[in-house]
Amino acid sequence: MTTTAKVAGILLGAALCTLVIAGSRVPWTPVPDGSAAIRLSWRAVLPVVEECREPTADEVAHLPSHMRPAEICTGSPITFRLLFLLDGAVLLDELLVPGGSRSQRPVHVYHEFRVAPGTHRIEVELGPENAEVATAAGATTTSLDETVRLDPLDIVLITRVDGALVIRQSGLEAAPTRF
Amino acid sequence: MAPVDAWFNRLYTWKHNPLYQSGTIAVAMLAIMLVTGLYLVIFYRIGTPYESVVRISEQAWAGRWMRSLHRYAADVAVVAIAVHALRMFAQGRSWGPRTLAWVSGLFLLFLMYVCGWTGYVMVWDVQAQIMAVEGARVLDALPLFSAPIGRAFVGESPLPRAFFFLNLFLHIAVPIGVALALWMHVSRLARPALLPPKGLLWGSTGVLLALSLLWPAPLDAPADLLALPSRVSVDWFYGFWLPFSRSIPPWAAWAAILALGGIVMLAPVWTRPRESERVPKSFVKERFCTECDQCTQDCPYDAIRMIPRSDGRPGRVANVNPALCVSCGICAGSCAPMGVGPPLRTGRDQLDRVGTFIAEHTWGPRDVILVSCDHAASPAATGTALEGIPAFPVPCAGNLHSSVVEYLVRSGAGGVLVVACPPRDCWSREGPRWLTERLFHERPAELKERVDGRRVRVVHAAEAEVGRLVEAVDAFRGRVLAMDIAAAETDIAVDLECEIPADEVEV
Repeated sequence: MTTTAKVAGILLGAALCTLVIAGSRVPWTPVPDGSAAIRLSWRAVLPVVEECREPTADEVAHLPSHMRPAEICTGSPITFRLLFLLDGAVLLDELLVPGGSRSQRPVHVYHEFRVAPGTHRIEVELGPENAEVATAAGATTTSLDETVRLDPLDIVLITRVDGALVIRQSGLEAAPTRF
Repeated sequence: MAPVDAWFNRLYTWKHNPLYQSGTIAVAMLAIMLVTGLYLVIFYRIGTPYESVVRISEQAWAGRWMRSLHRYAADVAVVAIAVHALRMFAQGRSWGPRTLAWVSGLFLLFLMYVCGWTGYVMVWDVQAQIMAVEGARVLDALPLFSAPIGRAFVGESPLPRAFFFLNLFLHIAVPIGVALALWMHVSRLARPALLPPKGLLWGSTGVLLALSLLWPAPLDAPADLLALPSRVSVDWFYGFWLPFSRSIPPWAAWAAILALGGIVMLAPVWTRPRESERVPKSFVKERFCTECDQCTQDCPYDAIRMIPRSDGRPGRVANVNPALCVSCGICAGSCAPMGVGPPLRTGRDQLDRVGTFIAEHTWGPRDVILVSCDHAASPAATGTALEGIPAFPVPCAGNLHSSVVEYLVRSGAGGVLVVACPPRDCWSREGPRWLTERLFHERPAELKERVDGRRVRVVHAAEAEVGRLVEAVDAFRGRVLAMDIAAAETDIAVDLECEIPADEVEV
């Protein structure tokens, strides 16, 4: 093996390793259009309309003593409707139905919309679909109507804190940019 | 692939050719990751992940290059694994008994990506954020989780320490799975080579270390879940999927993963030749077996074991496990009594063929005869350079029985040049190694002392190294010309006396 081949081999090896290392730091712009985003995200346990009664003697007799309930309840979930409007246009109209065999699982709201940077009016309404049943169960409608300003790559997060819809934005903690 | 191999051989020699050593380079990189990872985990904090990585990067002496070396070794490892897989695929070494190695190798690559994903997320910079968010988006398409895991990254609340603890746990635990998969990957190989030769090992480590010092791994801005990522440095070897997954729905990403993964995983099925085109497995002629045990030692795939004889004679006999045999025929070259090997490729079959070959060709006492491996540089590919030189083909140099060489030399050839693949690129593993041992170092079935060893040479020339072959032939011709004139024997008998006649076998 000649010295030239040795030197060329070392240089080629170094060049290949450099190529690999260059490939490990390729600049990339994931959001080339510089858009912003609005996210809706929260978890909620929706109220359930429950009807309870005392178990019959026959029902009790079929159960071991440690499994006999004081009352048997059957619940029916209250379906909520989520409405999201951006600058007056409806972007989301969704029914929130709890999962699980007894419809008692929490619902998860998780949506992201890309929007152009600038000032936008955000309207969110979350309320029971059937007002009469909901009133009986004590379910209420919550809404949000805000105008926010979004710079490129900004994200506005609409979430739910203590039953109320709130806006969160980077650098502003819980306080949104309001007008 | 052959021209690139030849080019690399010229620069590095076959012993240090990184393309031949791609598998061992991957293992060496895993070892580097293990050592550097042990250092990094001492200083990593799950409560303040990004800040702790910043502190590591600011360490004047070790931290900065340790982290860079850890990351660069991970990059080189996936490149080496990809090259290794590509070579095995191109050489048709991905089916039959090699299926386990193929599938476990793909599983190893998958684990490397899982490990890489957790490693990048640990840093919790913008690249980590993109990987976490995209990974969660794709995973949420599976009906596995009671709540969308992507919600963890919406910025509703800071990420809990438990997330980084789990991530760190996986980053440490998955390499244990890598070690198990690696064990499985080489479990069907005899004498697996795990590390590259010292020169290549320390050379590649030194180059990576130098690059780590000169060009440390970047650290992006800290992750901000309430901002879309701006320009970021992405490790393309681990994050190549990001642009695709972001541009298609998660179900389409899964469809692509399943389709691609299925095609690659099922390569052992769709690359398998038809039954009629496959080389039959080795078999043992029990009456020739002398219980020498040599074939079990030489088999590169541990496919031969010794079992009690069934012909009434005492002792044990070699037995080939067809599920492990790749039909390389190396056992045929190891068997002095010529009792084992694939059909039509045993030592006796080779002697029959070479007898015909000698009858059909004429040569003078100063002529060189070639015995060439089917996968090595072909004399026919040299054009007119080697025109007129008789060439006796063998499927693998390791399959060649030394008696064939003896036969050719004793028939009056001035010299016999065996053309073999570079040892690190033998399609059958270890063929050239055993060939050299048998011809020159008395490994059974050794070339007998009665053969003039000066008239036998071996040249390692890869498929595209025809120039090397021509040079070797010219050099050997020169040596042969300087020797005495070879004496030709007319009534050549090689040792076949080990066979016990059937009437002497006790039943």
